[in-house]
Amino acid sequence: MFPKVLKWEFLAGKRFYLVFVLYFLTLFSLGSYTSYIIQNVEHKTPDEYDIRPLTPGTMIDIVWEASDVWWFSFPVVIAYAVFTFSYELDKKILRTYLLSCVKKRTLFLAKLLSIQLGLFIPLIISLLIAYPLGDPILFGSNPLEVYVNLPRRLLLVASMLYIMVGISALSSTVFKNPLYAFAAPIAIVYTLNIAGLRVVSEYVPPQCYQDIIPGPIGLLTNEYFFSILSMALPAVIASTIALIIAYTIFIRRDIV
Amino acid sequence: MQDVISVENVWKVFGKTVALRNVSIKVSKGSVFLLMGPNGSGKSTLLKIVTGLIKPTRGHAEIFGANPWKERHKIFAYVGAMFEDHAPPDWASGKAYLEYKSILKKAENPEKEALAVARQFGVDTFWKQPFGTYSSGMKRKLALADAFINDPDLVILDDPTVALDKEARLALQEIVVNRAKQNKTCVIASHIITEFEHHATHLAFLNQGQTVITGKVEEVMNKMGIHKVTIKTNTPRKAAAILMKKGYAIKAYGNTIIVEGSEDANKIVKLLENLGIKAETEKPKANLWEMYTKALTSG
Repeated sequence: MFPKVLKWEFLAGKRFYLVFVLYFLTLFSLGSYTSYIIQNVEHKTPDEYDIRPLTPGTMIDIVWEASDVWWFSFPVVIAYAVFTFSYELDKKILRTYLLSCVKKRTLFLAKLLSIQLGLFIPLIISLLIAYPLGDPILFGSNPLEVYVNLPRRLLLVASMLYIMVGISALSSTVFKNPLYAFAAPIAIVYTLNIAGLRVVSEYVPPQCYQDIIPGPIGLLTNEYFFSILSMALPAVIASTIALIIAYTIFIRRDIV
Repeated sequence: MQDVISVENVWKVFGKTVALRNVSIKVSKGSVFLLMGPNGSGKSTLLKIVTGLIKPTRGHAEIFGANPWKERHKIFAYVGAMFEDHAPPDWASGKAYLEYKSILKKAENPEKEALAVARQFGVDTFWKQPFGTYSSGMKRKLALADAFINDPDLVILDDPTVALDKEARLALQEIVVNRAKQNKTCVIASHIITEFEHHATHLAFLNQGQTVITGKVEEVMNKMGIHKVTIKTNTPRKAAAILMKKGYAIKAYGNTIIVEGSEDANKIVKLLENLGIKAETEKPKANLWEMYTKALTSG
């Protein structure tokens, strides 16, 4: 039963494609926009940063520096999660669903997994495309090196998304008014953002590999990786608690 | 007869609103059970408790011997239900939706099952369009088809005929009657009285969240003091004149005469036959409007 429900939730029409389209629009349109107006680009290394002239291989720097994916993803992710879990927006469909042999538990888990997949598949695709575009010379000589730190980056972004999804799921099950359901997680995540959570999604472009000495080759050194992962940990735990509360409400709530 | 639904002393409170007060009803297998009452009387709330969508604040509800709140997913293998505001996602086509629901209700061949129920209500003529484009009547037909997936032993319908065209209403009535012959149960909640007047075997009247009266149609008529005899004759004018002369209160419709306040049909037939008028009795038909009015005013 679970795969069937997941498939239906996952392919729930426009929501999935909306996120998909927004990712690409954000990544690519902003990249080309800034390339027209910025003549120099910042290069970050763990120890310093300098400004170098814009070259074709630096587009990826501009994209990530300019858009700072976090800022664009957080309202999208929250909207997506709130739409999926909002009782008030979904209760007629929910009731129709539950007049069948589907367990509430199955439905909740399918919703949760569908959000994660709905966000991750476009994210992975966009990174797979964006990385070689960002450094075509390196990609031409050693394609795997471009992707060498992709799993680490995905793990960090996953924790970021998880935090947002957990808070949104709780908010949308607690607040029956959709406005509050949206406003609450946006306010919380915005505050977390100011508090430094955004660092989790920072990007160091492949061109800076040569500057990372010594340590493993890749976008993130071990030290830096674990440092930002530990920064995200309290929020990940808080998000897990939020999801447990959301689940409990979901299971016990009357479908009026 | 075996009870497929048993509701005992059920209360439901939403905030400060008491939606149901100590409601008790029993629905027997094979019956056509009409749940009647004005808007806000608690019909939908009661049916949502029975289908496990809502947890009763107090009291006990069972469906096929199971607690619907805890075992909803189990009972829906042999129960079908529709509610007033039935809504699949707008983007889903009726076909995809019915096939999906057939899977969720564990149909052996979901595609075949979906097509079978769609044909029953004429849904197959428009079911490839997305739900968002449907008229209210089309939405109701889809909801009805959904309720009858897997030919369930029990079907629970909340205001099923609203927005339906005549053909669909007749189709529904026919299905309900045929199901009763197969000893399958239908529970229908409505404030539109006439739709199932002649098919109901059991009744319950709700008013302001309370059961006013419940039982078999004949029992309810007796409990409410509604006694009448229906006579069919080829000389209705003459028969009516005689009965009026004898002091009976009557209503005449064509060849049918309803004698009110009387329980003894044979006595009246004999009286007419003695005066040379050929007459025969008919099974008393429930006049739901009369019962409904009486139930609400007496309650």
